[in-house]
Amino acid sequence: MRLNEGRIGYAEGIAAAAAAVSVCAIFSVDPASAYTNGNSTYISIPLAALISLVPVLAVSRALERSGKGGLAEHLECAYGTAGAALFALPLTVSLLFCAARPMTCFLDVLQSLIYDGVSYASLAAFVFPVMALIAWKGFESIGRLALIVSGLLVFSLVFAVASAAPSFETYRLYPLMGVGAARFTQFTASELMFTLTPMSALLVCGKGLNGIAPMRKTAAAASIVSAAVCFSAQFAISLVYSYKGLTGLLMPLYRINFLSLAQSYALRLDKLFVMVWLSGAIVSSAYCVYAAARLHAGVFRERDITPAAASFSLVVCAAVLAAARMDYTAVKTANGIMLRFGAALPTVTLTAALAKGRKEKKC
Amino acid sequence: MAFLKGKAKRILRFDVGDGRFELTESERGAPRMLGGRRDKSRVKNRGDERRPIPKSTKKLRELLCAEFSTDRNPDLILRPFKVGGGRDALAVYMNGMADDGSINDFILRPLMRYAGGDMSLGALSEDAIEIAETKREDDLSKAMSAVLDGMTALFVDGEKRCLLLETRGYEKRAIGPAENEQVVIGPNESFTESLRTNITLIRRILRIKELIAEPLPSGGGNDTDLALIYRNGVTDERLVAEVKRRLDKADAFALTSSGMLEQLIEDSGVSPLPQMLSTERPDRAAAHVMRGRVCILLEGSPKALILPVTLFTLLDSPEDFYMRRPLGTVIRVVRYVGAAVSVLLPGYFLALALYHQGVLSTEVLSTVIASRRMVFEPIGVEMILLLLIFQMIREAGQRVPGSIGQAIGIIGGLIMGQAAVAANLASSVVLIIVAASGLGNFCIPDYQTQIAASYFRMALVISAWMGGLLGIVAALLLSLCLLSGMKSFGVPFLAPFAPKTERNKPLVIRGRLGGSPTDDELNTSFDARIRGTED
Amino acid sequence: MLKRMGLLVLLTVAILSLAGCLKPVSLDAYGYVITIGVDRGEAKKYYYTFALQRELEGQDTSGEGGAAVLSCEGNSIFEAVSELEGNIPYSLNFSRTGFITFSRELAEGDAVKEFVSASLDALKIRTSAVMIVSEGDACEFIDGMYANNDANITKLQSALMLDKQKTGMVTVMSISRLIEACEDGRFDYCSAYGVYDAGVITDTGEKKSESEGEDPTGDAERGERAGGLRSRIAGAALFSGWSMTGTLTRGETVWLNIANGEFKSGVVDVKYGEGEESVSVGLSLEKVTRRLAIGGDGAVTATVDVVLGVGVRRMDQGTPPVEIDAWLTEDFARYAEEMLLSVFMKCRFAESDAMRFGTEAVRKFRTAEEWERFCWKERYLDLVPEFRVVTVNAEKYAAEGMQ
Repeated sequence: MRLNEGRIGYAEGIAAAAAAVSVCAIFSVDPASAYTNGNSTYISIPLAALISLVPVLAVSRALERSGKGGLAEHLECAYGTAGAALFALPLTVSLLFCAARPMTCFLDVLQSLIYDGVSYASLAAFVFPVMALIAWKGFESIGRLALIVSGLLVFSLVFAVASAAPSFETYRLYPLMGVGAARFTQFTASELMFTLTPMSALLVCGKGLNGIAPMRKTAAAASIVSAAVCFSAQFAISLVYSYKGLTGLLMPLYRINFLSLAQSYALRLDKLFVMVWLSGAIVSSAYCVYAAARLHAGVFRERDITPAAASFSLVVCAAVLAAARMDYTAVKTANGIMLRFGAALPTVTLTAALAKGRKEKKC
Repeated sequence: MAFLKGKAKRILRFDVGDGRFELTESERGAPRMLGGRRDKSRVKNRGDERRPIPKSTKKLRELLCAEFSTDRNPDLILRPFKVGGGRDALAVYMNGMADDGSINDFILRPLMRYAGGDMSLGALSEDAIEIAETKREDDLSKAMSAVLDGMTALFVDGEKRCLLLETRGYEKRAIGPAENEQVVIGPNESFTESLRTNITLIRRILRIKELIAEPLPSGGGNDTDLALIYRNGVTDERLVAEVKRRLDKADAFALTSSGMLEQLIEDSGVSPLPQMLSTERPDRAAAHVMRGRVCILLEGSPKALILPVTLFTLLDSPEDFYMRRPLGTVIRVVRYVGAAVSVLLPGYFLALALYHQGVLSTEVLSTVIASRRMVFEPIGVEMILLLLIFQMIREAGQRVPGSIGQAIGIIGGLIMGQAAVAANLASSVVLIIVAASGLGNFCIPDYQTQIAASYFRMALVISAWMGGLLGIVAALLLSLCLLSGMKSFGVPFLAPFAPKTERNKPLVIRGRLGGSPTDDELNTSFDARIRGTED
Repeated sequence: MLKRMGLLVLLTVAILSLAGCLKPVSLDAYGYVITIGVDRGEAKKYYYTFALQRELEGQDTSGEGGAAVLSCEGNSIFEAVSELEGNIPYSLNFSRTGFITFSRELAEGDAVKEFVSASLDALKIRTSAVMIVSEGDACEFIDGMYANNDANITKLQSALMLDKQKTGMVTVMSISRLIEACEDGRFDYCSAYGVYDAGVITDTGEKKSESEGEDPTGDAERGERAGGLRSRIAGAALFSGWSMTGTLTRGETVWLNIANGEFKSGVVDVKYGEGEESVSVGLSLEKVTRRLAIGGDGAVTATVDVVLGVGVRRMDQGTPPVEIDAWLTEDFARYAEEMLLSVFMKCRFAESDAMRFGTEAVRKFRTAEEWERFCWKERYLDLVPEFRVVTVNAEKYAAEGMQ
């Protein structure tokens, strides 16, 4: 069997999941929907991260009752191969979207702000082979890499926020929660796409986390950590830019210290920080691709994860390159639908898992 | 089409048959990245090669003359004599390996003058022979191995066994200072080429009864001896079993150095980083054995192999624990910073110079531009050229003996550098970057790790040339991905950092002396999967 | 196994070839623009001036000095850059641009908006760059800044702005604040206002006779300014949206900074009593509290409470008289209130919310839609805030003012 699950501990699991949730949530924000008519992202996104824990814990109970170590095996046992494939498909699509979306954002930034006159494909050629290799190497490598990268992620985030601190102004937060209740709820629900999906990946990789009980603890800790990270990042952004300024910004975290006037070298490290965040995004994307491949392999009882991992990496690469051509209406439409309603996809899969798990049935 | 598909599947290992990879992940390591069969070889049963000893010494003599080609090879001495003037006997030893004086005084003379009635091997051993260490052997192959090792084999006519007598007396180097692992504070002894002496050096430090020095055949065509040193009851038994299994599988034409042995038993032959620590210091070897690692000593090699190791073990120096804690911590931090600078600085500077000039301050920009005004080559070529020249100076300084070697380092470094800048072959800023990187490289205590760091440095420079910071990120992630998947005899290479173990001792900051006697990551080798909590 | 390794190597080489290099350009192939100046052009729409940092090796800072100044006309900056790059052996790199200077004539029009909206991201100009409006031509102002051949013009820039900010007589805001002000409508931008004084005798100034030496003090006649830069910051330029609408003197800028809470310490000269005697009063800002209320009818009222630390630095007669403390506490406080109101009225007359009352007004709204419906700019023109100044710790700040 070459499922490359390995065994990882709490620290690695939390790092992998929290990094994936944080990166997906922070760097996948659609400015048009997030910042029109106010800014509540510093509440919505962390709230979405915390809310996503609830269905994960519920499904983990279902897995315990069915006696299966992972979501794929649980679905396959409950619905058969065809049924499991049907119910696993939405989660697979959302995992691949979560892998692609942050990469799109980063490649946009690299292409427009950092590398002059370089094509998307050239930049993608540096990024996607690495992502594919990490996904291929498996859960152990992903966990350990995430542990290494998460330290750098947190440090760079803290440094960026601290260097921008002299520019913080509370008036930029106002009107406080100015979007209104309806839009707040809508935006939080849409953000669940980027928080629930990476958390659901923990259910898929339950065996690699040494069982359901450790997986539950990992999910809880990852949810809290990612909520804290998302809050810090978004709150800092909200103190530096008002909602109108954010509407047109590609990656506000990158420009967070542009308001500072000092000539210090520390304030010119924004490109370096973007690269640190990019490495977090690559590891997160690999995590999502691996989870999708593992889900696929579990549902179809495959012994080797290589075909699925390779194929899904190519799909993600193609999706990102297609997203670069946003002038294609179809691409734009698909992207818009996923951003607004994508949270329904993992919900379908988790509901299906929960529905069968309500009875005590050992497969 | 079907043929091509089948071929692609076979090459990429997509069609794995039932049971081919079963249990692989739960046994000794995951399969290699591109597939490969699981290693199922077992320990050879050495009993298959047993040869009985002929009872007749005359027949034995003929046999040995034929086997050792004594007509052309006068080194094997076959000394026939009569025990007490009666029974035929044959003393076999190697000229130069055995001590003639001991043979004459304590074997031949007392046996020839033996007046006792009982001429059995046991009686001769107890009443006549005046050698401290004796051993009875009934396997002719083992007896001959012992003779080749410097012992004397005594055959008595009519006996199925022989006596092996400790008469080793070959010339060997005196214990000297460690030339390649010098410390300011701490012992200065180093291993020699004699296995016996090396074991003794470790036993002098570790005077504990659970210290095992298990002799094993090395597996080389030259049949040298090898000793496995570990702490019984502390070192993981499965680790010892795995080491023995790999040693038994090792097969080389001639094994003359521990470096060759290392290549035969390591986990990954293509990884630039070593998966074992090679040291010439007995104190370092003893410290690692004390912590639960295994030490391999090879006859004829002045280096010991310590395993398993992690990246952080390779970056440790014995001197860290000989100094007081604050000083040891400072030195460690400097070493880690030096290692990081060595690997990252040239690539980082190249990335900034070629792609991200905005990160550099105006002063640095102006200085670099001014210094490169008349340099004709691109900055990437200049960087690589200087790195290569630095490596050449380093190698030349090591190959040339004595003070000339030091002079080459000074001449090469200072004068050539100055001349290169004056001749516009290099710029002063890039030269400083390369020199700083080189100095950082020398901070790494292990020689093989230094070379590996140079390898990573060059890869990062090329990546930076191709893609700037993006190239560096890609190369670093690739390297970290490969490192995180590497294992050294089952222990993850980046332990205890990734995976985090229950280690209570700090990693970079030097911990207190005392406390836990072993490193926690060693006990996580062959982990829960082996312990019976598989799927 | 070997076959697979070979395949992996082949794949890697293929991917790397596909990636290629990402168009590296060596740092010595660029000229780094530190300052941009924009003036009205003659043959074309604009006249652009670029000051570049010269390369300097080692400790030798003598010789030609730090700045190389290039200029060119163009209908846009891209046209001017293309034109210039045809005549120079390097490309222009704007990643280190710290100052963007507009002439007053252009600042009062649409040129700032046109420049900022088109050029910043395209030229990779960091939005932390500072904008200066020059009373005369921007090119003259730039020439005056760098004519003294200072080696490191980045440090000169930094010193010019940030050191002066410590005196409180200069307001320094980055382009990103301008963008924020214009997009959000919560306040108005206020940039530094520079002037070029050709009468300053510098050490590289023209000699008036053959016998004159290199000493500017010696060359200057009585009353002439000698030494230093010909370009200086003379106050603040008030903006309403993208266009400049007024100016403040250096003295008025002090009070603007106090009202905005951005004043650290400085000195003002005030007439004492009824005579001609003037007092140099050292100031430091202790606290500013701004309160704004919006009535049911939309009427806006505001109060600004300022606590100022004051101390006498110097008096004409030498030792301050005994009653100076009472004067500092009462008369000077009233004077401060009058100055603050006067500066506010000047800003309001220029339709510039430079005192940023809009940032207080926005806090009163619950939703963004309500705020945008409120049309703050119109309401601001009716606002007359009340300034209440309290002075404290005369002795303490007298001592501090001497530092």
